[in-house]
Amino acid sequence: MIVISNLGFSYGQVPVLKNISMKLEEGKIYGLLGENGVGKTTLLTLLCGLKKPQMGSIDVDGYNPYDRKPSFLADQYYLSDEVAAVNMKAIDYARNYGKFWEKFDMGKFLEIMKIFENDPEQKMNKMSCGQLKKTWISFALSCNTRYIFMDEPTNGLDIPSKAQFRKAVTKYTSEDSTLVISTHQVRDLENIIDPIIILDRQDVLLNATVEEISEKLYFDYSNEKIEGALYSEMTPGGCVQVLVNTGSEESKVNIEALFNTVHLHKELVKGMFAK
Amino acid sequence: MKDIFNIKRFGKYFVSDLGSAIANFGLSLLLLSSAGVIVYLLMGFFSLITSGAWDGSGPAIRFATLAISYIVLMISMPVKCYGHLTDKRSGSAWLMIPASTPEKYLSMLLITTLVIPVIFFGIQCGLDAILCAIDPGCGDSFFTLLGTVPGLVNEIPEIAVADFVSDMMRPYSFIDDHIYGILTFLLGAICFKSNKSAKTILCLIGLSMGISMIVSPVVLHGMVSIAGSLEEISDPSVIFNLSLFDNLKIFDTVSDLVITAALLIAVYFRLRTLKH
Repeated sequence: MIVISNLGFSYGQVPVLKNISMKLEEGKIYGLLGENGVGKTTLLTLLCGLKKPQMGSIDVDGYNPYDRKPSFLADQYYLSDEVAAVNMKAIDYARNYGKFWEKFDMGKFLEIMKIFENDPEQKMNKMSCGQLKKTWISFALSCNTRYIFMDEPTNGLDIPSKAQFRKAVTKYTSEDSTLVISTHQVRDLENIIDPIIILDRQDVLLNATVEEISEKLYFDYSNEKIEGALYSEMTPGGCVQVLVNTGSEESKVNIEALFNTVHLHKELVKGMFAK
Repeated sequence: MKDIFNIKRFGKYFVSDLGSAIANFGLSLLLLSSAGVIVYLLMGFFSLITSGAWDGSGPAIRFATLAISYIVLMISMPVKCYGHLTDKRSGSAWLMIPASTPEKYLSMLLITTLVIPVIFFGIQCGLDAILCAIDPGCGDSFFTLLGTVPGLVNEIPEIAVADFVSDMMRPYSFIDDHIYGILTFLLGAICFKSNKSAKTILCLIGLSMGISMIVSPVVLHGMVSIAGSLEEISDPSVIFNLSLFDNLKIFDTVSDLVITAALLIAVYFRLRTLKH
């Protein structure tokens, strides 16, 4: 389990994260959402130990990530939004570095590469941006680590690759693994992320499962304008409106509409989901 | 303890790190190691065109080529092998490899100060020996020349009368210069984000000027007070026989050790605190 307590971080005089506290449970795929500059990438880099917290603490199964102990690093993988074009064939990189992750599975790497229609014999520095990203995603999932942190993993992927990514994540992530995926492309990951974390400038607006969200908020897709809706948006197919769920009705959560609702009614939503 | 240093994990890491260093610097290493042969061939062809006879490079030119290519290696190799650590993409991937900082550090030191220079000198001297065996006009090979250096040192008159000068010219005394030369450029490679070599050289020039400005007046004052006058110390044979220089060998060794230790600590500290 990851426990974040009163976490603070700033770049010079510009505070990014302030007094952030939350718990991330194992076996879940967290979607980390937020506007540009709210600190999603910073939070991920703090979680994996690439940065040192300036305030508060992070506890990952008893480890302080910034200590970068090999036993901690061997159980987590961080996939950056911008990935390195290594001067090696993908298969050589996997062979050369996969051995550091105890549970790394070369067979799985090749299978995921196949799903992505990527050639493992190709040199990584000769790959296109999307191919390179898919290679790193394949490597990240093949490491079979307890924690995987992915920053904008679908950026640069073409339309079929996004579906392949969803397939790879759902098929090749073990049940006790925790994934934290930061993204702006919510539609790419709509059906796989649960719970959802919405970060705001220096605050956590929401950290709830899809079930909890649909218990408390109702997503209406009819064409009738409903009075008292927290948020409404015209879409080509009709209309999506978000209301407080007073009658315990079930509805499909629309993450984009949820995101906009949370930003329009920050205090109300925070109060609704306060545990 | 297992999280600080594990010999098995270090072995695995060292092999991977070496593979990565060769992927990044292998071609340049091969080119630099063959510089002597390339210069020999170029000069031979040039003489063939101009004078109609084959006349490859002699020992002096080949030795100069070795020295120049070594300097190029010392400046470029740390940047090529480890300069990527300051890049967000490559640096993040490197930091996340499950090996401890002491393991990564030791591997880095072994590769930059030992493995790659040994390969470089091995290929250079090996090719030179082959060249000299094929073409007797080449003169002595590096192996033969290396054996004559101590004798040459003893033959240097006047200025080298003091022990420390002749000792400082023996081949083994260049090992510390080699180590801190490489470490300086390694530190530059992992500290500066761009123009790493140029910035390191500029820093070295700045530091040298600063240290000279502080140390020179002190040394000069000491020499004058011992020799008696400024005129006396303008004669090299007088300078090197001053009692001030009796302990210079120790001073040279201690200063080299201090600089090397400082660089070793700085490189480790930089690796430990690297963030992305």
